[in-house]
Amino acid sequence: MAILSAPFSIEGIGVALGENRLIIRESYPEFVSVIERTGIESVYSTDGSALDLAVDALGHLKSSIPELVQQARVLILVTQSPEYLLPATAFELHKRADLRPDMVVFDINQGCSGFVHGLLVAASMASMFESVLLVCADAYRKKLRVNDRSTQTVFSDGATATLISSRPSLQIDASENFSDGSGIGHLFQGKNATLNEGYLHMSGSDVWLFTKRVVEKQIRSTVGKAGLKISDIDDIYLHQASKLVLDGLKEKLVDAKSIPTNISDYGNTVSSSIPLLLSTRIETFNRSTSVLCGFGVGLSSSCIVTSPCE
Amino acid sequence: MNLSFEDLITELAIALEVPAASLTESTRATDLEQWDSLGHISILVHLDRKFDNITENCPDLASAASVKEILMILNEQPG
Repeated sequence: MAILSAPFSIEGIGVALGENRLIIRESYPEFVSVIERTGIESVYSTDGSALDLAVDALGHLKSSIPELVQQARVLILVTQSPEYLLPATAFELHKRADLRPDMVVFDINQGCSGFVHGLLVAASMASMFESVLLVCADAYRKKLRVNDRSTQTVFSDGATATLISSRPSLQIDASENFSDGSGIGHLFQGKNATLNEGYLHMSGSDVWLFTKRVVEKQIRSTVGKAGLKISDIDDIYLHQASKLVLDGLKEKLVDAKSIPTNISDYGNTVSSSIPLLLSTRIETFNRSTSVLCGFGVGLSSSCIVTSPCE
Repeated sequence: MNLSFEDLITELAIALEVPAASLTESTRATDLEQWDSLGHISILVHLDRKFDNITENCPDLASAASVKEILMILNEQPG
C-alpha cells in the first residue's frame, strides 16, 4: 500500500452557518415540489460575507481548542467568495482572528472539491509545521438569481474551520484527482456583469452527468489503489450536492457500509459540506478507514482514502 | 430506438411532474418553468431508469434543450 502523507489528526472543526435559516416550504412555497429531488428542507443565508462566516467558524474552533489554534503555523482559506482580487482573503481572516504573525497564509480558490484539495495540502504541511488551520468558507447565495429554483433551493452559506495536527492518527493511503477545464462553462461566475449578468451559472444536467461518469469510478479506483475494497471502508463522505446526485452515487456504491448525509438540514455548503459531515464524528473519523470525495466546479473531482496510521 | 413524440412526452411529463398536455412536439426548455436546470436533471434520471442508463451513451442529452432534440438523440440510438 502506498502511503501518501505523513501521519496527521483532525483535532477539531468549528462550524458557522448563515444566520438566516430559510425553511424551503415556508420561504419558497412555489418551489416545494423540488424538495423531493433536492432532498433539502432548509438552507442558510448570511447578510454578511464568507469572511464573516470564516471568522465565526474559527472563533468556535478557538473556543474549543484555544492552545492548538494559537500554535497553528499555517492558515489556508478555501473560498470562491473572496474579499479582494489581492491580497488573499486569508490575510484578512488572519488579522480578524488575531493569529500569530509567523504563519504561512494563503487562499485556495476551489469549490465543492476544495476541502479534499485543502486536506491534501494541509496534511502534507502538518509534518513540517505541526499544525495547520484549514478554513472553508463561501457565501454563494449572493451569487444566485432571485427566481432561480435550481440554485435558491440548494445552496447554503457556511464556513468550517478544521485544525489538522501532526499527531499520528491517520494517513492518506491513496488519492485520485480529476480536472477538466473544458467544463468551466457548466458552472461559473464571471468577474463582472458581462457574463450571465454577474450571477452564478449552473448547468445542473451537465454537472450531474459529469458526476455520474466520473465520481463512482474515481472512488472505486482510489480505494483499489489503497489495496482495499469498497466494503472495507467504514464511511464514505461525499460532497453534499443534492439528493439526486447522492442517490445516484448510493445506487452505484451498493457495497458501501456507510454513506453519511446531512443535506436535508443544511443544503449544499460548497467546500464546507464534507467538514460539516465530519464535525460530529471527529473521533470516529480519526480511528476509521474513510473515503472523502468532493466534486463540482472546475469541473473537478478529488478523492482520498484515509486510514489509521501504521 | 423508435420512440414516438407521444411516448416521449409521456415520459417527460412524468419526469417534470407536469400534465402531458403542457408539452408538445415544439416545446423548448425555456417554455416551461419546471424545465429548468433541476428539471433537466430529473429528465436525465428518468430516461436513465426507463432506457437502461441511456445517458452513458448519449452525453448530448445533458444539453438538449427541446422535446425535438431529445427525441432525435434517443432515436439515433440502436434498439
